[in-house]
Amino acid sequence: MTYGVLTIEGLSKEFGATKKVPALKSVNLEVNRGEIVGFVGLNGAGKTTTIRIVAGVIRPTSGSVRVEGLDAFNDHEKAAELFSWVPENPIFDLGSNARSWLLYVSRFGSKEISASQVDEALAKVGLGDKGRVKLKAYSLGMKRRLALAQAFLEEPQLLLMDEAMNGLDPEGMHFFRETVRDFRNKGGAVLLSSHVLTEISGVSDRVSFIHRGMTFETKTLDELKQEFQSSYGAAVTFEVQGLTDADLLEIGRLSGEKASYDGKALELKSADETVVSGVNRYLVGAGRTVTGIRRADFNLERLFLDKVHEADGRMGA
Amino acid sequence: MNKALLVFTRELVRQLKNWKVLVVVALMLALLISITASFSASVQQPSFNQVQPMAIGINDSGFLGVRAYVVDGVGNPVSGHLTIEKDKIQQASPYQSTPVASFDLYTGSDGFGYVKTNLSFSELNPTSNGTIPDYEIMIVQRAGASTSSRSLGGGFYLPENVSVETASVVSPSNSSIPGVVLWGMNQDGSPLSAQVYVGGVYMGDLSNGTFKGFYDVDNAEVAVSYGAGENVTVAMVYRPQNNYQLPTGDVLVMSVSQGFLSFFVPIAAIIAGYDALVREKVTGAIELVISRPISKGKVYWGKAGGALAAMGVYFLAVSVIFYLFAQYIGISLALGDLALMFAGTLFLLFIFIFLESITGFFGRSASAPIVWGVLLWVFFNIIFSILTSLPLLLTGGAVNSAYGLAFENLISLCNPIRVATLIMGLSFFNSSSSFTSNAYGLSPTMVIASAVIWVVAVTALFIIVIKKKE
Repeated sequence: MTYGVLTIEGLSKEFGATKKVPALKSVNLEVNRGEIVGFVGLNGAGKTTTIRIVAGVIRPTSGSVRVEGLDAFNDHEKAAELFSWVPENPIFDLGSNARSWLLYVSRFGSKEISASQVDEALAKVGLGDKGRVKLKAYSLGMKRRLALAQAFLEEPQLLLMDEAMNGLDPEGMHFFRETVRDFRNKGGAVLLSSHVLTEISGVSDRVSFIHRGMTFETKTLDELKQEFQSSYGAAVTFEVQGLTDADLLEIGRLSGEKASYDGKALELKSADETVVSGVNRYLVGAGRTVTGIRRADFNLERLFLDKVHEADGRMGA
Repeated sequence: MNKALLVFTRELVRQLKNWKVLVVVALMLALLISITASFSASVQQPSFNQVQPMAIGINDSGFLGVRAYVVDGVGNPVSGHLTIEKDKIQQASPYQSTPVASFDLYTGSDGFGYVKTNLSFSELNPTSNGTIPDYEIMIVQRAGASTSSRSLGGGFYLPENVSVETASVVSPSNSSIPGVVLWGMNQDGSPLSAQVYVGGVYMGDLSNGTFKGFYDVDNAEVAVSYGAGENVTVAMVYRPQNNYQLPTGDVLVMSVSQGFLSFFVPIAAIIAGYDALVREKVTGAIELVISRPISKGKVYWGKAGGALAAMGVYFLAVSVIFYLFAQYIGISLALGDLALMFAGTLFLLFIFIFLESITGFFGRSASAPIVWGVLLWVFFNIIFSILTSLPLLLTGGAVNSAYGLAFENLISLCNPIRVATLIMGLSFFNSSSSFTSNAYGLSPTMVIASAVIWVVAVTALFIIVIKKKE
């Protein structure tokens, strides 16, 4: 049997000793070499729990997690040589400094990491001059950078990033995005969890959706764009002001659908070129100033929310 | 390097810099030293019966009776009043709210008549409801006409065979040294010009209102010499050499182990266990280590072991300092006793560090394991003792027999603190009657066996918790 860099099958997790609370019901996922997989879900959907299980921090109730074919939990010491984890809120030994911390954790791996390599890693994430500062003086952004330095120090094959870009300033976001892309381009595999879907759609090759502890769909970004196109590609927005009810009535007659209007933008969910042309002619003829006409751009968030609603329907919410 | 050893080493260094533990250990060391010193001093002090108040009163002040000079531990006069009793009739001096040097307790015109028989000083109250723990009473018997010179010590003279007993024990000032303390003044309050000779050797002058000690004068005659015809008062307390006995090693070890180690060691262990493992576990700081190529078991064992080693280093230093101090003040402790003290301490550290570490697997908040730690300490230090005394209390003392005591001691082996104190005194099992009676019904084998059972049980619990809860 062949495995991806990361293969998750039928993963479930229940918390609580007496009163069991299911956090994961069925998670199935695969991340391959040279690929960034966006892991998308609402808060509490199970993204962090899944990643923490892969990282070996918590034990699954059932299912399997394999990293390059190795059981991530029962063979953790070997599997952990292959991945690195960047948690949402990295918590370090605050009495330590970045340099000594990295030297310490790097010694658990089989690779020999020198002090100069640690300094390089710190410099790479912009902490070159902060290596000897106590970690209790670090901001969240600095801690995330340090976690990234730790993650890359041992040249992993798989990077687990859990909401790692949340709360970063634009420079930090840019840095993370470029770092992750660079890692992917060199053959690395990335599982990137976030609920900032613009970030996911900006860097991911595939996206896996999770809701209520279950992954229910995984598609490439191209497939998602096509799906969006087929669902929302016919939608058109006219940037126009001052429409009356009579205008909207006429536009509804011309387009065959009830148009939505918020005072600035008129939106038609499905309009071919003939309808667009007809509506535009009407608006111009009625003396309205049309400042722009545009087709809908790819919006993962919109697509995701539709999918969640569908999933809720299937799950009986 | 072995990964568990890596965690162990880092934790060892980290805990050696743990200021909270440092504070507890430093506090413990300070108390250990000071209490041992005062313990030694109090043992060295003569007991009530051993103090021999001696007085000479030479005056023509117009009354007969007793004058008591009461001073605190450093020789300063104290406030209060003094009660004397003769034939169950009490007489109290007026209460003095400001420190006074002396209390006149009797005059010939009062009900006691001439002082010819025993007087006892039953009470000294510095306030209406308190007492001064350390004070010194110098009694002056006023007896009549002056003489030109008087010899104290072996030839001491008390008129009409009056003996005087002090009511309490002496002050710690100079109390560790045998000798005499003298005080003297002229009746009119002017400085006393008197020379003190001990064994015929001039030792110095007495000056008015100053208490002066002369030491190492056992078996020597003390003489106070002053001008003929002077009316002076000289008071003296004599402390004989042969009353100074240092405590023996078993007494010291039992006192220290039961009074201090059992109190402080678990506190330090709980703090170390919490800081090493529990805090990182409940805050999640341990997760970035666990996600590395190392098993959780190695991380947990390394951390708890590192904390234990660090505490071991601390308490080894404490034990060595204590040992050297005991030697310095002349209490004989064998190196074997030191080793047993350290072994008992290490045992206690192990039990409490690991028990506290185990609580980290159950706590749902950062504070819960702290509460667990406190409860453990309270249970084994206080509640357990009460529980083991219950059979005695419930049966109205009916089990207060040899069997009852043996049963109670046997049950007490379920308390690691008690086991630790017994380990510390293992070498005294058959050589010290006080230790043997304290551990009645037990044997060294039973103590060692219970210690082994404790270590195995806690280790097993730690392993099970790691496996089940992770």
